[in-house]
Amino acid sequence: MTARRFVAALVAGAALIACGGGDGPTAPEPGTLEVRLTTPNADDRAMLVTVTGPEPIQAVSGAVGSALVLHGRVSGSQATIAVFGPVTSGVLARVAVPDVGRVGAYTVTIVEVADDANQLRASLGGYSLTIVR
Amino acid sequence: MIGARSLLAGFAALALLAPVAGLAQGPVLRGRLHVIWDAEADATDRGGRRFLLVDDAGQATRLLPEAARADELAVLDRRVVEIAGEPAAAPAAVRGERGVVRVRAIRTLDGPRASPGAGGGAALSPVNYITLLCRFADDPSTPFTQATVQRVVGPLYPGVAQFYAENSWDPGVMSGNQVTNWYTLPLPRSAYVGASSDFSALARDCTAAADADVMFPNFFGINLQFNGALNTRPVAPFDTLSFGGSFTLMLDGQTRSYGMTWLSGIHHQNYVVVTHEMGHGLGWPHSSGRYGQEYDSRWDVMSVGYLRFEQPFGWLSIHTVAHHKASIGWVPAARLWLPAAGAVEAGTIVRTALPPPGGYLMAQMPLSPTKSLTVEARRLAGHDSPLPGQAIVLHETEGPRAYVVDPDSNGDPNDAAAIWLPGETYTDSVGGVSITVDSAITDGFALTITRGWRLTVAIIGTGTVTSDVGGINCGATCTSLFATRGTMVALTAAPGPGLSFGGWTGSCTGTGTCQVAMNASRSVTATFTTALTMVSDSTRPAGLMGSFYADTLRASGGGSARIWSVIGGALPPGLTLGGTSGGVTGIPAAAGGYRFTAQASTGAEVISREFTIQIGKPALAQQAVMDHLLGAGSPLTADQLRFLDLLGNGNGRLDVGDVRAWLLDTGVAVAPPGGGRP
Repeated sequence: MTARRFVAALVAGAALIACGGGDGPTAPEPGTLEVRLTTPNADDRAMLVTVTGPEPIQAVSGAVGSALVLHGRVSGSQATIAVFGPVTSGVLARVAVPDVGRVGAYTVTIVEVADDANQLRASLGGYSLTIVR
Repeated sequence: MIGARSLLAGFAALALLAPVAGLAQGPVLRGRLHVIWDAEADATDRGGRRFLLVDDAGQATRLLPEAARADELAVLDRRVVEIAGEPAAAPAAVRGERGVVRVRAIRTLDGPRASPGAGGGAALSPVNYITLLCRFADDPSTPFTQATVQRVVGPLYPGVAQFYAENSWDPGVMSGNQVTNWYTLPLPRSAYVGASSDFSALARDCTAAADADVMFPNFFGINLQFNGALNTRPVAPFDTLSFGGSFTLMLDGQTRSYGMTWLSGIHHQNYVVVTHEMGHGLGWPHSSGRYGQEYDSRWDVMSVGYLRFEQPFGWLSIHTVAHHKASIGWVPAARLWLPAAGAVEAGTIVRTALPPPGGYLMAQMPLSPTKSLTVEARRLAGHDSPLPGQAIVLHETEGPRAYVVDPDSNGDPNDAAAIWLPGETYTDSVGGVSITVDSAITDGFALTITRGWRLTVAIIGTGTVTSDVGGINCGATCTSLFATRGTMVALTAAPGPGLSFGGWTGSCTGTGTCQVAMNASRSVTATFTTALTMVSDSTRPAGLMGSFYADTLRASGGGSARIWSVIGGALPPGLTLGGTSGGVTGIPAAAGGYRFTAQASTGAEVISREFTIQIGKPALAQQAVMDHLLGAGSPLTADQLRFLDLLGNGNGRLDVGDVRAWLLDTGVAVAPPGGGRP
């Protein structure tokens, strides 16, 4: 190994250490997950959803710049979120979790949707709710 | 005897059983109809009667009426009639009857005046009987003497002549009773007495045997006293029978009807049997209670009979009922009380047995076109000494038949219910008769008899009620007695000053003119009250949307029956007005101010008022609402949850749609201007 090659290997090894890589456990990464909605309707005006994850949910909040009024309740690993306003497809809410790396372990469910006349949707067909980093 | 005559004319009116045209459809027979009281009679007549039609030649034909119409046939006893019918099999054929005819139609051929015993106006007296002693050809015995029988039918107590003199109040009524010596019949007993007694042959042969010695037309009736037994009763106690009734015979150049008895030898000195059968000879039927029994009344020799055993005579009986006596004119017109319709009359009725010289012997009044009522006083005297009690006794009569009035319907027409004593009142509201036994007097009872249909008016409050007929002007005259059943009476109510008419109760309802049909005694009450006034204020208590609301609208006066209704505006959604209670109740479904007009009506009066009700909304904390929606406990009450649901989508539970509606209602900006996602 030349000196130049040794320096390159050292830099690469340092980079691996810095990245926590290797064959040891990955460190949790606190952060925020986004709850994203796809709706078939244009006159959704209120929605009640639940988020369930593998770890205690830390907080819920609205999407940045959203016109929706959000009320949430966190209880351990579950959050219940009610949003009021013109609900459209896009980010519905944000959920602060201890480890965004475990996003795949979270489930989101639509409980009920009300239209502009405050009537509940009889069917939730066509609605889709996902949670992403 | 106006009373008796009018009743008996009514009997004849029942005679036409079917249209006379029916006479052309079958054999037609003419003759005199006779009823023989025959306890062995077949089942075609529950009353135990044999009906015979005897023509002028003395030939008898047995008649079978429809069972239900036997009574109609019986009232034609001794009348000349024409019969249409068809031949029928004899229930028990006898030699002296030439056949049996089932009756289809009948009409009378004689005038309204009936034959002796069926009433003709004058008293039927004397009614002397000739008793013929006849022995069967095969039985030469003479088991009793002419003298013995003469004592039985004679004028010395308790002889038949004495018995009937006491019954008729006429010493001469049977003072001419006679008895012959023995005659021998041409045929043996078996020719006369088989499965059925041959009344015709017995009558013809016995009278023929004596004809040379007896001038029959001098007598009203004939007792055929045989030396042996006639038939026995076909049911227990299977005792030997005697019979009574009538028969037509052509004797001594005259064809006429005679009162007849057929007496078994064993009964030759049985005073009960002889007087009973001779009563049938006089035209009397049995009397009884209304219990389907023929022999259950202890008020009549024509019923139970055996009531007193007295040595050395044996069994003795009692008087017959006044109805029977009146039917043959034995009650003098001056002693027959016929209370006037539409009147209240007081009088006394004296005992029928050994009465004093004055006073009514009975009262009689119609109850309907086919029924009458008789009133008689029975005291323990003379032959009436074994009566069930000393009392006024009432009988309902239908044609010749009398039934004891026994209100307890317990099967015993001789008990206390049938014995009317001082202080007791009999009332037949439909028949229009009321009889009060006021007191007992030495020889009878003092009575008040009211005939008619009484209308009685009562008033509650202050006012007057007047009638178009009958003179009612109540408060002063509040009752009237109407003589004619079915009279229509119109009553008009006039309230006193400051009052209103609340309405009729009793035989009338409503608030208009009261129309009363006087087909029974009636009572009507008119209620006058203060004017109907609304009491409740216009502003009613406020309510909350979603919370139960209860209020009552109140009025006073105008009587007790009020009907409430909303006649203008509208109650808050969810509330209703009770039609009879005036209650405003329910769960308000919407907030706001509501104005409505309610009416209270008594029929006669109507009042109304406009009311307002304010329905508010409950004040809720947003945190509580959100907590309840998001599942953080149950901080909201049931009323608050109902409010939110009513405000939202009304699906019966709290949901996000309800909360959105509430947020909008409370002004929370859930849809900022421009809306939509940035």
